[in-house]
Amino acid sequence: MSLLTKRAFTGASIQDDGRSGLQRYGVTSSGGVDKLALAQGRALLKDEENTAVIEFSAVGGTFLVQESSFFVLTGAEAQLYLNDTPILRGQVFRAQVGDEIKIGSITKGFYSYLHVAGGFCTDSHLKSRSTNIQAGLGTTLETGKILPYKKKLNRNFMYMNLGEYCNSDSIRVVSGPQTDFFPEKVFERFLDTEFEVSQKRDRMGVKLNFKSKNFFIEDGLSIVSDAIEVGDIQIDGQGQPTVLLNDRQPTGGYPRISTVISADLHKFAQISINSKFNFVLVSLEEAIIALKELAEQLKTLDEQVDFFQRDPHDISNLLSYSLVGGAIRGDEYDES
Amino acid sequence: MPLKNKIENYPKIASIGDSGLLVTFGKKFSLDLNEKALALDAELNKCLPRGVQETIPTLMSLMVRFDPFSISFGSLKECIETILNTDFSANLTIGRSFVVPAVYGGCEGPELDEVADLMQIRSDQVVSGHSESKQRVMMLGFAAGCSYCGLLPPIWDIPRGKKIKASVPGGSLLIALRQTVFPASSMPTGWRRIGKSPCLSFSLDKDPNFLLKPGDQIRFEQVSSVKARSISYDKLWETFEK
Repeated sequence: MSLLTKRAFTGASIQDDGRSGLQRYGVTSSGGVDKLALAQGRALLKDEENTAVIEFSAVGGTFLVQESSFFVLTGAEAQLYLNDTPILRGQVFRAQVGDEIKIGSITKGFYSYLHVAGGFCTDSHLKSRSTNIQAGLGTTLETGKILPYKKKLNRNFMYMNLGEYCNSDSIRVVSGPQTDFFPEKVFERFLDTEFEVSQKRDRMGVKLNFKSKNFFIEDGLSIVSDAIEVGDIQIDGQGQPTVLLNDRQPTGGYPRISTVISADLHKFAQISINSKFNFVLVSLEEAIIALKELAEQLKTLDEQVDFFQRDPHDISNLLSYSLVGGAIRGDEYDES
Repeated sequence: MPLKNKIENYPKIASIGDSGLLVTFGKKFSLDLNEKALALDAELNKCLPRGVQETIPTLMSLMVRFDPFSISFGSLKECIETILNTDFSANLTIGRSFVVPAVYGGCEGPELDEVADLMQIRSDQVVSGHSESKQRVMMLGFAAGCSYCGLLPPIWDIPRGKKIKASVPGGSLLIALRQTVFPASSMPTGWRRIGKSPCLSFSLDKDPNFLLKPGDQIRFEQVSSVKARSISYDKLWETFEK
């Protein structure tokens, strides 16, 4: 049982919840960058934790279904077609042998996820199926690649209203071990600056553009390498900030001005290219409260799953449905 | 306030993100500070506090990643301060010792002569000096299984190259700043390459996947390129494990 990759664009990869405990050996976590989107898909398909999905960035791909199963797209807004029939994101659909699933351009947000019921069971390396191209781990999605899956649980017509994707205009940060390497005025300017997500972005990190003076500090280049945390905002030799994400390097020597809080990492990762936002400094306590709120939100996802209902006016092929097949005359019982 | 006007107290404990803690042992790197980071790592791992997910020793600091719902930054900090107040680094048992074969110079070490010029010694002295030095795996970083070994004697304090090479192969011996970087897979680098080992210290097919751990001792042993070709990879791994 599998999907055959007909075409996947650069930036597509397999992701689960990632690897843990290996940064001391030089391997960072990887894993899907939008944890909320992953959890939504799992709630829709009644999947367990850590199931693997296909993550797309910017553009999707085309896949041939080799065994019928149930699929759903979550995350950023993208054009999704099952054999040229458009399908909503958040709507579970059944695809049969020979069907083609096509994900086009991502129109709002940056990362979309294609889930299959039961998850993909591609190769697991160091206890995770997550692709990490730099480390040569997991699966790359070249044309012809077979992506197997196992379980088939009927989740047809399940639906969750994922809402319109909104770019976040404020991302919360906490100060870190190197924040005070920066003069107060530079740090204040950092918090006052309107940043823009640049095109130089991938799962390793996102470079930010800005109009003001850069954030370079003299002392910055003499720092001895230490461990890098996901969300760390490093200031490079040109004074330009890069937010480091799941496939970041394990260690680095550029100073880090602050760190995006865990609860906002998925929001940050989804900001579209050229969209503007500000960083907002919060306390460690506020960051933990935000993380608790996100955990609570994830717990309620099951309750948001519903049957898909459409207004008959919106169904162009209404007459092709068997709408009265189950109807009875009313006197059947009498006859028997 | 800029750093230079400030009195810093070390070791310094700070939060990193909302689920991490970083202990930094100093501002200027020394082997002593590396020893402290490794010793704290060893001590903490003897009995990991509940909620701690992983510890990451680097050149002169230790990062501790934890689940903030299981342990607060404050309690973890107290726990680490308690260890720091003991003589935790007094009896650091350095890890295992490895002898790793390597081919120096020629096409395996294209920058050997350049390094000799910078050190103002002959190329053969670079090779003997390097292969006679016992080095410590001070940290693994940059990429999977890539070890930072050192420190070499002060004469090895040469800068990194200005030009970044797009790719050097796994197993390369890369030199700068009294250190040898020993990558397990190909990578871009500005460090100068004086040799290459046929042995890679990371493999998905082996158990354990990573041979070298922070704190291990390593010495590179010069072999001819003919000998290097005859060394079986599996054999090497076995000798590694002893």
